[in-house]
Amino acid sequence: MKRRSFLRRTLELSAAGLIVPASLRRGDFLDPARAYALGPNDPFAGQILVLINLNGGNDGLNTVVPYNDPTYHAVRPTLAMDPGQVIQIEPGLGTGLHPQLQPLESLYNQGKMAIVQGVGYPNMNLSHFRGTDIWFSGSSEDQVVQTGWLARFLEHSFPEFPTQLPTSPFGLQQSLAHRIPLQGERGVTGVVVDNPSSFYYLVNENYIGDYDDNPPATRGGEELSFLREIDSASFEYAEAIQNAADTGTNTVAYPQTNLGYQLEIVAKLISGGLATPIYLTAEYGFDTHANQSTDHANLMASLAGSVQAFLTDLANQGLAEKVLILTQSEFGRRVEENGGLGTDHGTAAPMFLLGEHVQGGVYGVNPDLINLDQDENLLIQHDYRTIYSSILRQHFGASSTVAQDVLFGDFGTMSLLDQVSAVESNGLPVANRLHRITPNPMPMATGDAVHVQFDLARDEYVQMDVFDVRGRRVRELSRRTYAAGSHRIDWQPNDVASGTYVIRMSTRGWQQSVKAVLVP
Amino acid sequence: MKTTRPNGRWGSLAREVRPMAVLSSLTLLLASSVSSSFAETESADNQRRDRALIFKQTYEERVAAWQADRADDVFRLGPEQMTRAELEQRLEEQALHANRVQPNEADVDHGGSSPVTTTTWAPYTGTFGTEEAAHLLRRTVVGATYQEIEDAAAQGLAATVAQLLAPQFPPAAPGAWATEPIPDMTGWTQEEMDAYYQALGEHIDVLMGWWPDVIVDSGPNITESMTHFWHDHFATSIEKVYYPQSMYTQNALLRQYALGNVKDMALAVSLDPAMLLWLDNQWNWVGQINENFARELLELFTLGVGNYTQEDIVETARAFTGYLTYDGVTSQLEPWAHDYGTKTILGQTGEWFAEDVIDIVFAEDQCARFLCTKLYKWYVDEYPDPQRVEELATILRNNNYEILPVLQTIFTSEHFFDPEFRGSVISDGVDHYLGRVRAFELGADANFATYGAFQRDWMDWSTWIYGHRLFEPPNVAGWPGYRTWINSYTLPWRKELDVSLVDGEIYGNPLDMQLDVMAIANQFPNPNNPYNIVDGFALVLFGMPPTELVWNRMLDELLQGGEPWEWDMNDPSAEARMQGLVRLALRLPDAQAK
Repeated sequence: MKRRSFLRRTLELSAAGLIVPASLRRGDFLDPARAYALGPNDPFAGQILVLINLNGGNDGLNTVVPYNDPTYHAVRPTLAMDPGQVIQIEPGLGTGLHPQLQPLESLYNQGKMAIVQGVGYPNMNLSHFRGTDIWFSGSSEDQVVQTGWLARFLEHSFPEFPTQLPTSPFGLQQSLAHRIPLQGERGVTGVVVDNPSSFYYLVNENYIGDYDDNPPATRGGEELSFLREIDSASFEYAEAIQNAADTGTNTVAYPQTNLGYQLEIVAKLISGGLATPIYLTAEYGFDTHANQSTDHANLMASLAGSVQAFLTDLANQGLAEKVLILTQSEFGRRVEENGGLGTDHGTAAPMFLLGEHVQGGVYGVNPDLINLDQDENLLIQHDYRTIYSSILRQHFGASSTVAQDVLFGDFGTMSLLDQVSAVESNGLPVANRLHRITPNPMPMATGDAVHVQFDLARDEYVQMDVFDVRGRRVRELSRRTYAAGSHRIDWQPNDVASGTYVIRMSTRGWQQSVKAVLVP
Repeated sequence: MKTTRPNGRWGSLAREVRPMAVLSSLTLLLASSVSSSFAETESADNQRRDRALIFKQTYEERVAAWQADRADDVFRLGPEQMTRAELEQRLEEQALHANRVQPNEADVDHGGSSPVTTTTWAPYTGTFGTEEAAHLLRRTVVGATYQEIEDAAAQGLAATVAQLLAPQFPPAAPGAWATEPIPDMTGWTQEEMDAYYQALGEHIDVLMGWWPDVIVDSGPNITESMTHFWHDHFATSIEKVYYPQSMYTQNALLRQYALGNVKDMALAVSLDPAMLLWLDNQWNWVGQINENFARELLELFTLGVGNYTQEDIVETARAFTGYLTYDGVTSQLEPWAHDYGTKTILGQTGEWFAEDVIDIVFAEDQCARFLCTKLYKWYVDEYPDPQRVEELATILRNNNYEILPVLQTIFTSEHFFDPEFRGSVISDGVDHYLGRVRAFELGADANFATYGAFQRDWMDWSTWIYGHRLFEPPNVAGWPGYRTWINSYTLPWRKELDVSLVDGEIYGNPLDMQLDVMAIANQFPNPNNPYNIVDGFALVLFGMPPTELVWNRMLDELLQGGEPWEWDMNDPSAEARMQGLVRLALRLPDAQAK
């Protein structure tokens, strides 16, 4: 084995091997009710974010595929996927998914998956480590920030931290690969737990407690008080986590992959009632410099299979409502393939959001493969902090001030989620949005019209069309200006066959699509 | 003065290879080389070609110079080269200097004047017993042993401080490679390059364990702690620098100046090859400046945020244009890359070079203030009083930036020995994975530089879990330190890994080093008194004496239900019971402060 790999080796493997599975000596658990909530003022309102980091730089172009683009085929002679191979989720846009993402197709068609195209930030850094730090810290290329954006939000929402600590950790990270995500300004806001049992064993085995007296009233005494607090909080966290792992269940089988294993544990902890709002998971191996085709296919299969299992598991238990999944990677890959049947480091790439309250659809357009930046990489369409900001506001209900504080600036929002009604104080929507169709699928036998609801932040010209799966326009629904506010257009699908249709709304510089599935 | 670009390879290189492209290749090279999870194939060839281009200049000259160095047994200390005799002479001078600035022992013992009159740093006049000696050694030596604490108490404060501050002969280099220039790879075959990079990887491994070995083998002296302090201050990571010889060269430089002149060190570090690579001064050329180094010099190394303008950064960057390294172990000023124009830095205008910038920056009062604040936090407490810092800064300035008088003042002061500060510094990761090894007198058993025995893996785990890996600080700001060392993850792991030294193994993996409790306890006064056993281990492991409740808990653990008078070192169970006591102590929060 190459010893130098230790220099940058993540611990998850060693830590996993380090822990001897032991029969746990269970102590008296705390009052379960206490361990089930962050407290009466839970600032996260029970919402949960599961972040999946695709370590190594995921190839965006072979994940969300512009299969009709001749340039794509020209610059990727061996790696390009033909229209027949991909899952054509948006034929009108020529947008497809990698075939191994097939498990996500039904989620997409149900409007539970948003694909944001071309996400990045100005002047993207192509170092894995620096790039990852930037994403987790939610900062710019020229800023060095050692705290995580989620950790800053957690601290913002919980001003008492760390003087008071909740009974469940704020964040739970499944490997030590990254140090920044849970690092706040005032301390570490979560725990790293690869396995609840081994974490419990580690903490419990080393916990003494028994210090009910007061430390001396000196600076040293102050630090001892701090150390005692962290010591007892660790013990409480370990118990809360172990308790949740014992109580929780999984209802489906997960893929036997890194990510499958991690999401299985997360589902179990959520099922067991752990009040932790942030989970950080990761899949490894996206740095596909060589022989990409097989490796990337396996990674896509792991991602889609794990996510599908996870959401099914939660839905089976009635727990899916509050959970949002976000995928991210430190950068995408270069437009053209290299000489080794792989791709080198690039820039912008798509992000996925998945969950019951996601406003499904494709946001943005297929990447422009002709007009590139100075290093011949993709231009970005969306700043990643706009997605973060949208999640803070729409998933966690943060105010715009808080979102700006956390992200060091105003990056705007996109209406990616319908969890929190985003209405400004003047009563007008904060952003344009095309709502998901309900019910979906929709039985045609009822003869009801499809209600197409949308919001406008300002007076705008609205183009609204219905496309079939082959990308043909079957109906024009709007070509006119609407006033700012919420509106509805009814589509009577009496002249079309049952099947899947795409309703696309465009205003100047903005568009969003939703799916409508018509069943007989 | 007019700047000209020379003809020849450099000129064409500058046209062909955009600096940023080379930089990003360098970054990619690091990424691919240091991680098993990142394939090394991409354009590894391209990266190597870029690198070869960079270093192929004047190759034969460098090799000749290097061979000449080796022939003369030349010691390379940072930028300076000298023979062993010259080095010994230098150390002697430093020792004389150190003695010169130390107060007379009589002054200390009898409350006389310290070298600089201050109002807040009055000399310590109280008792210098075991507790005080322990406090001084816990703060200045990584893992002070019980015997060292006893020796210090016996010889008194003045002699102990003199011993702590005495210059040390530098440790042996980790290998001949440690000073070898990076070769020109022009014309190398793939196999040759593969072999070189494989060897380089092995050298990185050795280097990462070399300093830990030096620390656990060192004597009761502040040099390792101060070198660590400067490494944290001028934080440079092998993650980007990549070349182990560059990191070693910088370490030798920090070590050389650890107790010397801060201003001289600042200049030497500014021109240090690892620093040039780390903060991109390598790409800071006339007409296309790179501000990275200039910014950190002002923000993190000398003045602190808010004490300079963006203009100062740009002008400082211009003054630093053209200082490059070709071989990763030496640096030089390249005339074609330097901006000879007039610069205005912190209000001073002239045709400034690196030396001038350091002069200008160190002429600012804020500089000494900034450095002394950090030093105070490292050795005394997280919350310095501005007046105290100001007086330390005055001492530093009045002594032309010699650090020894400042250290001397701190460690002989009433303030330092104020019981207020016992245990007020949270121990860092090094205090655990190296400090415990040293405090348990296991330095001779530890060999971290080589793989094979499990102890190197144990060390690697520890550094990763604690987030404290020497030669690999998280960024140029150094380790965030203080309370960030401790969280729900690091705390239980610190206990687990500390305790493994009592067990001599972890999860069935032998460490080849195990605490000998009997040997240590036999150094305690009358070890047949169980109270002395508790006090002795608490002295070594805690930052301050335990509260009564905790002390009683420790005694109970030792006696296991027995009566105090039944305790007997000759009892067959004595060793196991003391091991239990030490395990308990290591698992208490008290063991995380010093």
